[in-house]
Amino acid sequence: MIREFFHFEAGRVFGDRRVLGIGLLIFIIAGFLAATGVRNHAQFLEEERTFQEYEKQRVPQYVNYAQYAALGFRVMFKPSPLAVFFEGSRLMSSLESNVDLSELIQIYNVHKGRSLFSVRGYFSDIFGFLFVIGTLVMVYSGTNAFPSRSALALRLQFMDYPLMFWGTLITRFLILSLVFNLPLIGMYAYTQMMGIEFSGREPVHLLAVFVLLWTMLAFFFVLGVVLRGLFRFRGQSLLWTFVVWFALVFLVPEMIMEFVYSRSQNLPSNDSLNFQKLRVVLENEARAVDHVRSMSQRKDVDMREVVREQLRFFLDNIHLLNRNIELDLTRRVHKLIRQYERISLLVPTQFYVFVNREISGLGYYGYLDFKQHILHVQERFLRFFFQQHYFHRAEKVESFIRPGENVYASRSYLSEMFKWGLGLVILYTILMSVWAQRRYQRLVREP
Amino acid sequence: MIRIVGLSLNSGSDCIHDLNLKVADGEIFCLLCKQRSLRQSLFAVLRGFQEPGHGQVIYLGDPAPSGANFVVVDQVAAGDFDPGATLGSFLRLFCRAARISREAVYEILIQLNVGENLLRRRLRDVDEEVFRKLVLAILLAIPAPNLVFNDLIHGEKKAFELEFNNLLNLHREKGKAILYLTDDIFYALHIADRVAFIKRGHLLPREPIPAVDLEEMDLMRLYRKYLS
Repeated sequence: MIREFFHFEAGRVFGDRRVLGIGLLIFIIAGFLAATGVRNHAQFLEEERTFQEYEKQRVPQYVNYAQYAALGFRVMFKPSPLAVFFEGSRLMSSLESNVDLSELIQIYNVHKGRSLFSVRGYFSDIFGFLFVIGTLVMVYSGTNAFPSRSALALRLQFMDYPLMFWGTLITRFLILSLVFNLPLIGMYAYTQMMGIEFSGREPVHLLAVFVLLWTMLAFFFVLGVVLRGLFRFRGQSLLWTFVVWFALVFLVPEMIMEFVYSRSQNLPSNDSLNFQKLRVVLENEARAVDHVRSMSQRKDVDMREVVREQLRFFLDNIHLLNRNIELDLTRRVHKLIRQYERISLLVPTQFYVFVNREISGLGYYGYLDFKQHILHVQERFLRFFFQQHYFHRAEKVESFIRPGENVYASRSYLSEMFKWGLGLVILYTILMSVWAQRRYQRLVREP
Repeated sequence: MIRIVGLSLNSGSDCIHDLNLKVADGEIFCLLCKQRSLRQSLFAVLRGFQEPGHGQVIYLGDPAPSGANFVVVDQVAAGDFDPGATLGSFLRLFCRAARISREAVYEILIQLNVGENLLRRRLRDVDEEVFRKLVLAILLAIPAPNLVFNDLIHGEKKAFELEFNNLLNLHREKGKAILYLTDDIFYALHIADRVAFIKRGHLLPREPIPAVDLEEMDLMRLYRKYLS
C-alpha cells in the first residue's frame, strides 16, 4: 500500500509541469549560488596569494626591528571551504588581524575597496536559500495535505485512519523534500567537479547540516498540517500559516539576537579594555624608567642586564596580566555564546541559523579561536622581537613568520549541541505529528 | 439489510428520538429531513463516525473483500483534493486501498459517460463533475451489500441525476439495501421504494409510505406537513 502512496505522490509532484518548473527554478538558483560560492572561493585563494606576496615583500623593507615591532605584520583569516555553501550565513565577511608589539588585539572586518561589496544579505547562500524557500513551500504543502473534512472522510472509505494519515503525511513529505534535496546533491557534485576540496570532518559536517535542513523541512511540513487542524480547515489557516512561518524564520531569530545583544552590553567595551591594558603598560613603563634611572646612577652595574631584567619582568608579569585581561574577556564572551547556543536549541529556526553561521568557521567560535591564535602569535612575536633586538642585537631584520603562517586556516565548526538540537527538532516534529493525527481523527468524525 | 434500532441523537438543537427503521435488501429507502445539520449528524452516525446517544445501526450482509459491509456516499468538492494529481492516480490509489479491480470501476464510469482518456488528465484540468463521477464509480464498485447516500444529487445537472438514478436501480436489482438521506420529496418520488420523514426528532409516519402511494398523494401537502 505504501508503494501506492509513493506512486500517487510521485505522479502528483513530478508529473506536474508547474511543480517541475518550480523545481527547475530552484535548481537554477541553487546553481547560481553554488557558482557564486565557487567563484568567491577562487577569488579568495587569489587574494590569499596576493596577501602573502605583499607580506613577504614588506619585511625586507624594515630598517630595524623597532620598525618591525611597531608596524608588525598581518594575519589573514581563511574560512573553511564549506563557506562555498554558507556564504550568506557567516557572521563576518573578511577577517584580518594586525600583530605588532602593542598590547592591543586588533581583529577587524575588512570593508575597504572591493571587500565592501563582499557583504551580502541573509540567506543568500545555497543552504539559506533552500531553507527559506523550502520551509515556505513545506508549510504551504503541509496546510494542503489534509485540506478538508470531506477529503479525509472520503479516503477513510478506502483505508484505515492511521494508514491514511501516516501514509499521506510521510510519502508526501518524502517526495516533496526531493525537490530541495536533489539541488543540494547536485551542487555538492558541482563543487567537487570544480576542485573544491573538503578535508577532515568537513564532509561529515556538511552531511549534518543537510540532515538538519531536511529535518527543518519536515518540521515546517508538519507545522502546516498542525495549523490546518488547529483552525478546523478554515480558509484563514493559510494566512496564519504564513504569519507563523514569517515569525519563526525572520522574527524569532532577530528577537533572540536582540536578547543576546542586550546581555552582551554587560561585557566591557573594547575601549575600556584597551585603556585598562594601556594603564598597566604605562604604569610599568614609569616604574621601569625610574628603576633604570636609579640603577644607572650606581657604579659597577651592567645596564644591558638591567634592561633585560626589566624585559623579563614585563614578559612574566605585565604581558601576562594583559593577556589574562584579554582571556577573561574571551571567557565571558564564550560564556555568552554558550548561552546563545543553548537558547538557540529551543527554537528550530534559530538553531538552524546558529549552525549555519558556525559551519564555515566565520561564526562566533571561529572568531574566538582566531583570537586565541592571534594572542599566541603575538606572544611569540614579542619574545622573538626581544630576543632579536635586546639579546642578540641583530642588525638585519628577519621575518618572524614562516611561509603560510600568516594565514589562519579556520576549521569547520559543528555545534557541540548539534545532536541535542537535531533531536529536539525531531521531537517537536514527532509530537506535532501525533497531535495532528489525534486532532484530525476527531475533526473528521464531527458531523 | 440496514437496521436502525431505537436510535436517539442529541447534539445541540438537533435531536432524534427512538428511530426504528429497516431497509430491506433490494430496496431504496428515502429518509426525508428538512434540517441539514440533523441529516449531517445522522449521516455521521450511519457512517460510524459518531456514537448515537442510544440505539444502534446494524448493517447485515456479506462484507466486501476490504471488510466493509456498507459504503457511504457523500458529496465531494474536487477543490478539496490535490489538483496536480491525475484522475488515474486517484483511481489507482483508491482501488488498491479498497481492494477492488479497476475494471469494475471502468464499467461504472462507462455508465456515467466518463471516457478512459479523461483519467490521464489532472484534476485541475477536468470538470468538477467528472471527479465526482469518478469517486462515485469507485465507491459503487465496492461490493458492499449496503449503501448510504447523503443528498448526493443536490445541485447536480439533470443528466448526472439520470445517470445516477440508473446506477441506483442497477444496485437495487443487485439486491443491495440503499438508504438515501435528502430533503427533496420530488426526487424521492423518482427513486424510492419507501419514504419516511423526520420531524421534530420523530419518524413520521410511523410506518414508512410506499413510493407507489406517494404518487397518489398531494406532494405539496406532504411537503408542508413534514418538511416546512
